[in-house]
Amino acid sequence: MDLAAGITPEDLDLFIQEADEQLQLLDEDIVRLEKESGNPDLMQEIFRAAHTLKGSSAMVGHQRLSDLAHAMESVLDQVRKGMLAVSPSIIDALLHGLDVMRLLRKELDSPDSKPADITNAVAELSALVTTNEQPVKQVAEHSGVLVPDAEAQTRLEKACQEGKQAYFIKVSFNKESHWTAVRSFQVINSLSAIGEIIVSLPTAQEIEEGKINHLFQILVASKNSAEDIRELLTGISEIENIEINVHEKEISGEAAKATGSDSTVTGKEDTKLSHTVRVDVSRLDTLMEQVGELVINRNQISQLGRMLAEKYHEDEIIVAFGDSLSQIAKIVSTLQQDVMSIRLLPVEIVFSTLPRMVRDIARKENKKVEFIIEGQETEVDRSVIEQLRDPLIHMLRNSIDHGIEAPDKRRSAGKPEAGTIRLSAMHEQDNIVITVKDDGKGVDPKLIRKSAIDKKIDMPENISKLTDHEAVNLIFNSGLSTASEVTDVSGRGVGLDVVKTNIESLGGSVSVESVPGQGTTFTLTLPLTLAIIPALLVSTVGTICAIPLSSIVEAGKLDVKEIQTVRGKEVTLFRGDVLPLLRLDEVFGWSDKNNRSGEALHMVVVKFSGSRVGLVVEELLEQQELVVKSLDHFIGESNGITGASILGDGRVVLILDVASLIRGAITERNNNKIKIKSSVSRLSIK
Amino acid sequence: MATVMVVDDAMFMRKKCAQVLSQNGYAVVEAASGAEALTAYQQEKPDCVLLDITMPDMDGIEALKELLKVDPNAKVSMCSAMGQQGIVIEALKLGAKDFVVKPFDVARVIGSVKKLIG
Repeated sequence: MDLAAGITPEDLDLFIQEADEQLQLLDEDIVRLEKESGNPDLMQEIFRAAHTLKGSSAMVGHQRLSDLAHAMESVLDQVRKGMLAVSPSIIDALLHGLDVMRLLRKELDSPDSKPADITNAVAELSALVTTNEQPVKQVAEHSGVLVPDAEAQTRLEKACQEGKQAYFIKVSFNKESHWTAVRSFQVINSLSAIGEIIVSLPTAQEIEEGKINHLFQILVASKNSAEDIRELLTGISEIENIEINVHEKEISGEAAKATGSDSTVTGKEDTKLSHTVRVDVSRLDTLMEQVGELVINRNQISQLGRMLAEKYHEDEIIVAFGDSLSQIAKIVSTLQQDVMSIRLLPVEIVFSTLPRMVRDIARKENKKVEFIIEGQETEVDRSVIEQLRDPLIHMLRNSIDHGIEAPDKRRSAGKPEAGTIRLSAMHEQDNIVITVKDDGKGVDPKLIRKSAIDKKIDMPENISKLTDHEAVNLIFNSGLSTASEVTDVSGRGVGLDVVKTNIESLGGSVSVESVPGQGTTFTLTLPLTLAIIPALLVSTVGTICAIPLSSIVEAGKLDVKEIQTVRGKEVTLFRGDVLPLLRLDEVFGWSDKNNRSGEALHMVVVKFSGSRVGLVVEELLEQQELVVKSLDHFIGESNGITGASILGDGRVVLILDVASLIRGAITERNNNKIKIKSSVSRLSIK
Repeated sequence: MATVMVVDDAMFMRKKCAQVLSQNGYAVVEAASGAEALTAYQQEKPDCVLLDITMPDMDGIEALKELLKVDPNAKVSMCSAMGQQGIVIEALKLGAKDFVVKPFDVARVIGSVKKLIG
């Protein structure tokens, strides 16, 4: 795709940014329009978005995008003026147009992509417009010469008696002038200010009807000089030539007065009017990383400061050094907080993309859904925002597909035909809590239990022991789907387990509550940021590791004698349950078990997805906030480690990926499931 | 240096227009709405104004009326899209001095500004 001349890559970035905003706005608003067809503000907003897109895309040279936006604008204009009523087919056509617009927008990212065809979308939109826009009539050139008729003659004579001079003026416009009619109107307007228009060709009436091409002739009576008139007309754009002839007698061409001096601006700088700045997110990420480094360095320097203070005690310079150090420490902390807050974004960014999806799914499923969003202004770190979309989509799909009943079923159950899904977000301490609540048929714990037994999720006796709440939460288990038939949106038993896995690997949690017949509520809890995490530092064979606090159940001493071996795997009893153990040194191959020293060990019990494992380490160190650094470039796929961080003294710690450690342990345990069960009874007898 | 105020809610249009103007030696004041334009006009006293028609809250026509109340001699050129002839004529009747049709080319914008400032 070729861009217009003079469009730099920076221009394009700016255009794309704004276009994306407008597209998103259209997406939300068009869906809203279906329900709020009587809302004039909404209508104006949609119209403006299409209008802005039309203008800017023409400016960058994306003609097809501009044309499509124009077709959309025409429909919107008629809706706005009440000539068209909002109907599902209009919404469909607008949304279809919008989809094509997104394709057109994508072409800017990948210039080699096949150009999207706008013909169908434009045709669909144009078919809705009741009367096609009348193109400005370009009539044949008025080749005739202006001759004043009798009525004009009378007026001319009267004007001359008043001391006015009659001028015959011929104005020709540039060939590329857009609206010669409006330009002619400008000419009439200007001349009326200094005199009387006796007659014109075409007439004012004809001009308003657009009957003009590039030549405009006027007979005007004025007390001003020809030069004055010329100067006046020179002020109008797109005029190619001005010919002014005195109609009767000559008047002396007085030199026009010099133009008024430029009203000088009194040395004022450009005052910033806009109070916001747009910044590329990658710059924010870099800033965040650098502040992270700064925090680490501050900790290092503070530690050095303490060491110096211990060595030289009351030394004046050291004391002064300590003072300015604590000052710097304070500033760095504030800076860190500020940078964190810059990275906060309202969840609206994700939420706003959902109404369209809900509408599409509901329409496909022939269900009626009222979708309510609350708390979209709730802010979280952008690292979290990016992780929210997929889980939300899965949960909403689940609610529409499995929760909300078909309209007739709802009616016979005494519910309103349209189901309600309420998506809300709020802060709770250092977490963001998002709930998806529907008033559908709910999840029946009995069915879940039956399904779980049929699908051999666990031993039948275990499943029957579960409370209703626990049973309902089995829907996050992979391989469990309660939909009686598989649809193309959900029902394949994948989805909710993915939600759980993803959320938990981020240090969050997800749960479900349900009242059969009344509805289901999904609750999703996530930390506000993933860039800084609180963690417990542990050490084993001289290596320091960090375990995220979010996954820790408890930590404490572990005597070697408490370790039992079942089928070659180490386990221990923890609160009456058998707990598989993982020795960190072994997992990472730092030492082998035959060469182990020390009897006193520590155990950190960690949980993931309902499973628990005891991580065996030598020492528990301290709890600390860590700035997470990605290791992707170095170690690739996660193998028990999610990242690294640097401590105040410069030592590197590895941050453990509890999820993958536990998954590894469970796969091993499942292979030996029966054996463990029998050993459980043996252990409890003992 | 003459100062031009660019009023447009569409960010890309406004920036691009401002860029073209400053490349041609004008000082540029940007305003993203009619209300901003009014405040800025009184603060910055620009020599002329490029005023977009389609804007939220206060559209170009309203903004024009208000600007002319503040300064009856304000030199305003309307920026309009295809299909807005009627509104442009209305603006001219109200006292706008000129208009530019989008999508603009550089020469046309500069031309209009030169005509306005003289």
